[in-house]
Amino acid sequence: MQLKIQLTAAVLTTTLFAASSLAEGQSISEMLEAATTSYSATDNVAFTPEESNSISSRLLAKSQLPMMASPMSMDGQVFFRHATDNTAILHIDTAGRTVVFNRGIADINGPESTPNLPTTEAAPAIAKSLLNELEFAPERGEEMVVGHVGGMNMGLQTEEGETKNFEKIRTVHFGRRLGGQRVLGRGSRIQVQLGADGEMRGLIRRWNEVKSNSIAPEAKHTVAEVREMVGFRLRHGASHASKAEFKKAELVLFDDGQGVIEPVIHVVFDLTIESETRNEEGQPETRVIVNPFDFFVPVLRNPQVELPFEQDRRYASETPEAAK
Amino acid sequence: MGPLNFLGKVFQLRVSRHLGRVRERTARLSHDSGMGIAGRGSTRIQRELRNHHMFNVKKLALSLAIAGTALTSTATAQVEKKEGGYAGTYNEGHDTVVYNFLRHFNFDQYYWSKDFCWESHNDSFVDDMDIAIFAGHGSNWHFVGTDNKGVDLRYVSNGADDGYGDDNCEFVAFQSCGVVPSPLDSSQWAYNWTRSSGAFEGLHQAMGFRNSSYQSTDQDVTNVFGVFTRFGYGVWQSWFLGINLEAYSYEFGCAVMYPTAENDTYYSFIADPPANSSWLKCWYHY
Repeated sequence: MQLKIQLTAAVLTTTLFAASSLAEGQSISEMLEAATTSYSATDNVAFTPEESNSISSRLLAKSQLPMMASPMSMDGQVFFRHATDNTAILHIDTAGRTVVFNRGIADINGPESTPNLPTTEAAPAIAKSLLNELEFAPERGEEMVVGHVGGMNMGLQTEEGETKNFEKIRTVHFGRRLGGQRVLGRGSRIQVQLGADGEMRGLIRRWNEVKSNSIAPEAKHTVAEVREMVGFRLRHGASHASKAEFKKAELVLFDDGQGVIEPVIHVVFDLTIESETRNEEGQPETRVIVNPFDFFVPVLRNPQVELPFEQDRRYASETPEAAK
Repeated sequence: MGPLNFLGKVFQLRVSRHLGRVRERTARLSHDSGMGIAGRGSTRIQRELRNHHMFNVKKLALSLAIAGTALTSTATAQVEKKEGGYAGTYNEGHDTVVYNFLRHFNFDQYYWSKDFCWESHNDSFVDDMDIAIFAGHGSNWHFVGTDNKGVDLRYVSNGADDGYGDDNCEFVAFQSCGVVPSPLDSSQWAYNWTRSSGAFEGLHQAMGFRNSSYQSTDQDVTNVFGVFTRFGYGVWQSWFLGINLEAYSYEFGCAVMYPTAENDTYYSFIADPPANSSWLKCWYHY
């Protein structure tokens, strides 16, 4: 009975979502109409050994860290390990064309803030300069946009119960815009971590150069099909919730990090979950929490892009209710 | 007694302890089967559970065989490593989120999460593992299992099995919204972990998010976490790497730890911190 009520609430919300013309954004039909282009990578081949060597050489020369590589795994992963610092790493995923570098925290984990940490305003320019110097900047620099400037802090509670906070690292997250649309997903991301006087503390790069491909109108889902997919995902994903409140739907491009970028609709709901929790005295009390629930709906009937939870969608549809 | 014999004795003691735990767990699972520990019917996790029993039997046989040949303590440590994963919802993909971490190991537990896994019987579940991971819905120091019961990490030590680390566990991770607040979020960020009823009872590190985590990225975050933890990179550093590499830029990780455990890896870590320490360190995104 409880499940039925919850599902009913979710379906009702879905109906509202589908019937409305999404208060603060485009309607579903407008989003489908605006989805005219997909993209495919022009460099979607694994790093060659020469490329990998060049990447590691540039990073290690810049960082001056003594790191040694382990032999490449059969799936193309190369790990560089620091002799004495477990927190420093260089990892090259040759097949996924992904580079991860972190110089560790051994020299910055003390109870003091990093001196001369770049300001939030200055950090993006410093990060871009580093990317150019290391030859990691994208070919078409105009596609790379600053997504967020943040960082990493350290807090310390002493045995006396006093808390101190220390600024340690400034981080610049770069994202991508193609044809005016935001790109989400595993790919199209570059991140630069900066330390004292703008020194490079870390770097992440997963970025393919791409070419555009036109989308034929008949290749796209209909509004009804999009509604059905949203409803399906919500019925399964929100069955745990007492309430599902629609927050937004946005046409974006999804980069799966494997060379495919396609238009999708990013849907976000807020789920209200009630639980019986024990309080300090051990007595039961009801807690109410609100968590976001988001998912992607493909615009294309035959998407090539690999979206999150496609595997679960199949699994969920095959799992009998009796098993739960 | 030569060093090899001594190591063999140590190993036999560990195997005896392991044997006791397997018996205890088997008994408890039999008892709990009426409570539907992993639901009824033939779910994937139930199949894993059955495999897990078989795995434990095989593991025990292997342990005994190895003990008989008195191998070194290095081998002991490898046999003793335990990973557990607990999924907080049935249909939202959290089982995949958990599995994406576990699949990098010969994991020991993969269950639908119930409150007793974390509270009253945690010595047979979370605290029997070396590393445990939860995926599901949460809020500050709190998360919800498939039994629709919440676990309040501020009070888990009030139960018979205390908090985590008094038995075995070194690391816990929460792929959930807001379970690990930072000093920016709460003045109680440390106290609620280290208070007498809190979760830190010898635990080395706890990691999660200080704000919302999104379900469209979480299965990739835990995958990367597994890859790098397995490789031997720092544990909380692997967690942050997963977030940096896969999550949105507005998803902020947070890890709290006993200060001298901050460089721990899964395979090399300090001796267990004192259970009553209030000393705590935190690294967090903003």
